[in-house]
Amino acid sequence: MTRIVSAVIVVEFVAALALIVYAAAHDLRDVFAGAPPAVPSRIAASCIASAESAACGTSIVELNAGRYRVATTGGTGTLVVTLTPERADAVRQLLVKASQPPTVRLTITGSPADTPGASDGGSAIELTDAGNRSVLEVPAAPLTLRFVPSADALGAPIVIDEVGLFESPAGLMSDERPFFKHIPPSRYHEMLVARGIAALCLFTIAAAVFVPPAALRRSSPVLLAVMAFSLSVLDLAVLYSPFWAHDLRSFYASGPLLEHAGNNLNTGLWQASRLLTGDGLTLPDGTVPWERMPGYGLFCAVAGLTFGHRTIVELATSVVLLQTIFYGAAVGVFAWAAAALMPPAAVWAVGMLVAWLPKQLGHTQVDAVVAPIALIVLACLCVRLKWSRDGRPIPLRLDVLVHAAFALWFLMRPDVVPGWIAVALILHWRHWRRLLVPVALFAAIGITWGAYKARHTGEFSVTTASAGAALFCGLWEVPSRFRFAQSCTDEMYFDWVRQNTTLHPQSAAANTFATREVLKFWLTYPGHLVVMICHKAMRFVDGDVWSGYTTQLQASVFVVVRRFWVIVPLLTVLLLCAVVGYERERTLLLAWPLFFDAPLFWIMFASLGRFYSGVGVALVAASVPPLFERSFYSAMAAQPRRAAAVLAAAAVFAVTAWPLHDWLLGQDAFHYWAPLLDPSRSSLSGFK
Amino acid sequence: MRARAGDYAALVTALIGVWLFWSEFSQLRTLSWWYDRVQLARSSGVMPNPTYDLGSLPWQTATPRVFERGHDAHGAITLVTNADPYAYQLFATVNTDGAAAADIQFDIDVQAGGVTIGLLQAGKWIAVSSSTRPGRFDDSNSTQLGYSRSLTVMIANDNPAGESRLLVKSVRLYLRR
Repeated sequence: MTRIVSAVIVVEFVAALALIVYAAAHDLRDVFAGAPPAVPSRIAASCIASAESAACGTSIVELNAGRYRVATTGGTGTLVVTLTPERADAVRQLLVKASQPPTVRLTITGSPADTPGASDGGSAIELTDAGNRSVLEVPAAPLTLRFVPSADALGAPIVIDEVGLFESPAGLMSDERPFFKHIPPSRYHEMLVARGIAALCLFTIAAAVFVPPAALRRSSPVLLAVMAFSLSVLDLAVLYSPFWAHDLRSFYASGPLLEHAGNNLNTGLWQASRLLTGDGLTLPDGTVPWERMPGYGLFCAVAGLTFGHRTIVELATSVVLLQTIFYGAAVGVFAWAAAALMPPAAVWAVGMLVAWLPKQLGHTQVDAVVAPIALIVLACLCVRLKWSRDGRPIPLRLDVLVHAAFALWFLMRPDVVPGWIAVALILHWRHWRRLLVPVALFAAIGITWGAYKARHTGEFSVTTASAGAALFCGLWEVPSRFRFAQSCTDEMYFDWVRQNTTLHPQSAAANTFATREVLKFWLTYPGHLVVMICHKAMRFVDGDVWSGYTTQLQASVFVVVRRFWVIVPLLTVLLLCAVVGYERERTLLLAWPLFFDAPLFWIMFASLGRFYSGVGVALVAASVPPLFERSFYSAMAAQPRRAAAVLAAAAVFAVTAWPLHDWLLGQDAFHYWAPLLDPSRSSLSGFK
Repeated sequence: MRARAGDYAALVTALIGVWLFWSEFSQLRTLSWWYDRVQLARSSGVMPNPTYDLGSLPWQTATPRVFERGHDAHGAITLVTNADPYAYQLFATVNTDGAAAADIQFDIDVQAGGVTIGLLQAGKWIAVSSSTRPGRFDDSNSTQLGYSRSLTVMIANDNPAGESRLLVKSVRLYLRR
């Protein structure tokens, strides 16, 4: 009987994994290509200015071969697009998606056939479904498309997010499914698949307990890597669906790549693009980003070399693909390393949860790769811990590996430095000479980057020049009456620096000025500092630690159990481990980002939690395994008073934390108390 | 004792797995049945008679500023919502008669603002469709039903800026056992 039940569970486990992989494989093309292959066509566009408008122009961006984004620029008028297919041998489908204005009149000319609206002077087609695709049958011939804004939007620019010719309508309005094919794609993918997959993920965590441990241990690294990749693709399929939103290529062409070079989502892309053409890690204006480390630009360049960089849109897609693969690989590496320290079911639970958590993989910014790098750091620490437990001397190469992982994080973002120092001291306090390894790696990266930047800026700085800006913006992430209390932007920081100094806002000197002013402000208003830390810590516990972009894959669970009620118990497990003396070293090493990285963002800019991605995975990696270990419960039972005290404290915290937080935020006398320094001497003080 | 508890846990897990696979498949099959019918109707132009339609649904007003029923054969409803951005405006509660699924098909002319139309059971939305811009809004939705014996068709304002003006031309509700 038991054997039969076990066999059934194994079959269900495998079936669940197969379904997840199948669902992801089904979405792969829609996520990364956005459409089936288009008929190769040449495109030309012009804008005929309206009588009352100045001259207008057009911009064309190739999304992929034969699919384009076209928009008017400057003045307003009629947009004329000519599509000339390279082969004129079949009936064509015209894909068109107008996003501005809400209603556009489309006339198709240049073809003698009796296509609706296709003949010269023929009837026009009203495109009223702005932001959604339309597919029209057209004859195989060169086509001229005339887009005219509706009468009530004559002054508006015309933006055609997608236009292209296809041989078949299949896969343009909905994904091609062998089953359930008439369920609308938004309903199917956004709700049904995401919710179903979420349930399957949770089921595999329970089922893994009954899967033969040896088989699970052997297969986990590969299976979890595949799961992480698959779940990432499923998230991307919802967030960047070609059927009810913008696909990845269209999203980048219509948004981040239109903005000035140097914004969050295009800095790495422009750096990589210019690096690959021999212009170095610079932006199009020749400057080196003042607030970045070099790693992400290099990562984007590797993505471009690996998966293509013919256009910057293609480069963006390549970067997202590499990020997704990297995430999957990192989960697999962690599973392999953690298997030496944890039961297979615990490894599976950690890996599956990390794979399932909200992610930022669709965004081409450094925060997307910090979570996988954190996993690699934790994996290296697991390997080192295993050597240490076995009583074997730690070879130098292993410590080099551990610190190389930290260095990889440092290459991307400097926030790792305090944690790196802390972990290095913990690991090497008995063999202090080994501290030379992290020092050498830090120096190699910092000095190289500092020297490179110095060629462009004339200043030498081993990290970034943005700590002051991050401290400045961090001040305003808590509700207050201070005059700067609003959504913080680079421009706001630059204006403040310019108003108070003659320094270049992106210079190291401005960075020093801003840091000094913020420290002075903390001393001027210590109550604000306390309120700020309390507020950000509470937001962290309330869910910011798992920021990322939530789809129904996660929301279907979080709507049942609020993140706060998951995070507080996990933090309680960490506290229990510390108090009852269970796996203290493992817990400390796996949870180090929680102790040494997250608090940085309680005093600096947290940006709605997007910098916490490494912390979120560390919380899961450190706190979930004990739940699968019988010895954890034995340790609690051996020290019942301590365990009870921790559980009681956690319960009190869970119940009272938010009321106390709300009470504290209402204490204006404390918040704006200035006992030490004169507020008039701070360039940051002043009220709305 | 411990071994027996483990056996029970395994059995429960296996049963949960069976239930999970079945319920997911069942839900997809139920919804797919409806959308297959809608697709068929689009090509043939014929839909079966609904359990309730615009005329037979027992409409009750919540907070609309204007509610007028047309006197023609179709009985279209003119609705001007109040200024509450997302407030319920018009609803009709019917007995499910043991139905396992409900399908709704509607055709609304959004003259200004936006609208949300859907189904509620036990006070919770179980199927929602929204349009936030003027124009024709015709679509369908489908859902499995819970254990509650009643089902509410709800029309709500979906305009953060204030009131919306709607012409509800058709609402067809299908209850499936």
